Amino acid sequence: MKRNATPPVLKQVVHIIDDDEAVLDSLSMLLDSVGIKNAIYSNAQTFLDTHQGESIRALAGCIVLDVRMPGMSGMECQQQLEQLKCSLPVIFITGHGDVPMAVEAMKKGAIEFIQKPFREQELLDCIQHALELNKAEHERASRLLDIDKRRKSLTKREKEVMQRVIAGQANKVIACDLNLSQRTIEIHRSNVMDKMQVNSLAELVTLALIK
Amino acid sequence: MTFPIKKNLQANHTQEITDANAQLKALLNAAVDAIIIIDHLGCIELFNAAAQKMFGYPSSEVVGNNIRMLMPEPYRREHDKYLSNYMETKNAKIIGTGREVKACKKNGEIFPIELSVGEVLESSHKQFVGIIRDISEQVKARSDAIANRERLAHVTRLSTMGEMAAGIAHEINQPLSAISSYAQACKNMLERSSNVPDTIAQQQKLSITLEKISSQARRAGEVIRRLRGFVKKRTAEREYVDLNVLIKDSIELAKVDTRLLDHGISLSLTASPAPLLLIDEIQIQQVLFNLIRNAIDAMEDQPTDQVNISSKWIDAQYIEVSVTDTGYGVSKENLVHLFHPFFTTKETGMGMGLPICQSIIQSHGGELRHRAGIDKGSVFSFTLPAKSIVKNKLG
Amino acid sequence: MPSKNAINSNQPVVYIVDHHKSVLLALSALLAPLNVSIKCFTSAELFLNHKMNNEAACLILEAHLQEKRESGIELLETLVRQGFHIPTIVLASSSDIPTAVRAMRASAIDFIEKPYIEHLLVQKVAEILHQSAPTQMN
Ligand SMILES: Nc1ncnc2c1ncn2[C@@H]1O[C@H](COP(=O)(O)OP(=O)(O)O)[C@@H](O)[C@H]1O
Ligand SMILES: [Mg+2]
Repeated sequence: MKRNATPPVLKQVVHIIDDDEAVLDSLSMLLDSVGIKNAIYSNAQTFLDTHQGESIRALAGCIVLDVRMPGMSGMECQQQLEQLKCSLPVIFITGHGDVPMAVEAMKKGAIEFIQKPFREQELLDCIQHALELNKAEHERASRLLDIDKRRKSLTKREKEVMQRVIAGQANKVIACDLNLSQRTIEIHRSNVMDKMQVNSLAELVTLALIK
Repeated sequence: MTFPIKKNLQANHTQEITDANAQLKALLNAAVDAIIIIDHLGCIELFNAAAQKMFGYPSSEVVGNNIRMLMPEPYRREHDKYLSNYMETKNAKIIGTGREVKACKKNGEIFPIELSVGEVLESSHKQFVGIIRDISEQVKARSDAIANRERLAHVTRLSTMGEMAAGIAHEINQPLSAISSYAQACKNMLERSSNVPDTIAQQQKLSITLEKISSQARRAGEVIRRLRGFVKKRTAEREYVDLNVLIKDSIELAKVDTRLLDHGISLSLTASPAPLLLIDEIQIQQVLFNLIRNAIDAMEDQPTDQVNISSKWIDAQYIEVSVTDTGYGVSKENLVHLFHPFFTTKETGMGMGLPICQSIIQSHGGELRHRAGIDKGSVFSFTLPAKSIVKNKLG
Repeated sequence: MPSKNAINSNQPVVYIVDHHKSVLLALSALLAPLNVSIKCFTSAELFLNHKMNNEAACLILEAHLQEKRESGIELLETLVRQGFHIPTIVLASSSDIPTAVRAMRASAIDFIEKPYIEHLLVQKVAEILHQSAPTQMN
């Protein structure tokens, strides 16, 4: 896809939620020390309040979440995030965890469950992984959005032609079917290729398959 | 059997006495307790049916012999001394009072008895009557109860240790984690700072030291984790247990706390179907024990209010046990902390009772919950799954 | 490797992999009332060599086979790598959080510490078979 404008650089932030001030401060310092942008919250509610409504879905990055906190627990927060359709990957860290708790968190889609104190490199690797997952997810989402936009720019006729082209029909057949001249079909077809921003039939077919 | 009969009586009196003798004989043989009559030297004169059964001797083998033959050491050696001492001083160690001693059967088996001795007054010669009750059962029950209590104490210690470790783990792992991360952050910053040649060596040394700090912090965390794991390893020993029997046993145990005797317990237990559950008996006893103790604590100011324990099936799969009191209840602020380790409102409380109960019940696949009592007080209920009942076919 | 395109048989299958024969026996007895066909294996190799049909199925797997730490989970990872997905419950005779997390990441449906609570395990297996039955039909 050549004419694709480079997407804006994704501003990923690691959101750290932990009730322990020292843990919060030291983690933030650790991430700063390796140049990872981060934000800290001393409880889950503050995080949710800060990113109320639509903006929580637009967030990029990941969440590092303590399990045991007064008020909303880490697990409850994970549940809320799911309900709010927030797609940020969640990494749990806990000073007090057991196997059933870890299993439950993983079932709900956490990508890691780490016990405190941990090897810092392990956490950093894990955060790196989470950020990549999140980036891929964002790219997928924005690509979908982009393709959708291109689809919508087609006229009714162009859409008709595209369907048939994708289905493998020759211009001649399409012209006959739609009761148009072959030349007109050719023009429509080139418009479709232009608007969908593709160079070959193969690319067009691939695009059409993306859902 | 012979009875002392005065010889100089008239014939009709003789008949009366014969009748009385027969009646007495029947009475003695019908007695549940073993009855033995001896003379002042300890020579056995009478040995009733219950005694024959208890000791395994027919009357003919003991009558005329010394009572010592029924005693194990050290009673055997001491007995002659007792008797002569009594004859001289009239100072009875045993007469008129029952006491626990040991006896010896024909087959050599030694068993605990309760013995009470009386002196036969107004007879032609000195006689003593001994009434003997076999108390093997009671003694066994008593020692079982002690063993049980010791087991309970042991398990309590173990699981308290586990819960404490869990509680402490959280408190300690937080600062350890912070120490480790701070150290690592410093190390990263050092490594990224300007590489002025003559400070590089120094920087490296600092960096190594910081790495050491963080590895020691993790090591301490590992120790705590292992402690928890170790305690958890006491894999539950589960057997089929009748929950109602278990509840009654637990109440007996709980009577160690004598306040319970004042309060009393009312029971309403379900019996159909019989609640046969696959559980760790000692652990569930411990749960009941804790809940009962908390209930009594809560009714400090109402020393005559009862504790109620009830059980009921909530469906085919789960049975629910509730311990209800009419005490001071749980305030709204305290409700959120109720099951947290170390939460207590009592001066001498430890705050580990409920967390332990909760983890025991959860490990059995049930749940422990609190709700307020109807007027006042609290209800602590836990559920336990029964034996697996499986649908015969899928869906 | 288990093949996917074989004849459909109606009876769901529960595969159990554990090196302890006593565990295999106990689990078989426990699951018998479900009216399923139960196939037991004492090692990962034996299981991998077994040809699977296209029935509704469920795998119950010990996390540490032959006393080798996490070897059961390795088996699960192998299956996933080879593109073979069978709903799996991992049972663990000894467990810790990293082991549980690894099993879940290898797409286990559940990770249960021994001693398990029998009727909950049976329920779980029944649920899995119930859910996988229709999807396996086509
Ligand atoms: N039956 C009860 N009624 C009122 N409060 C209770 C009851 N049981 C427990 N609590 C409250 O919960 C707290 C914690 O109980 P527990 O964990 O058993 O520890 P402890 O008894 O050592 O305080 C108690 O201090 C008390 O405040
Ligand atoms: Mg208590």
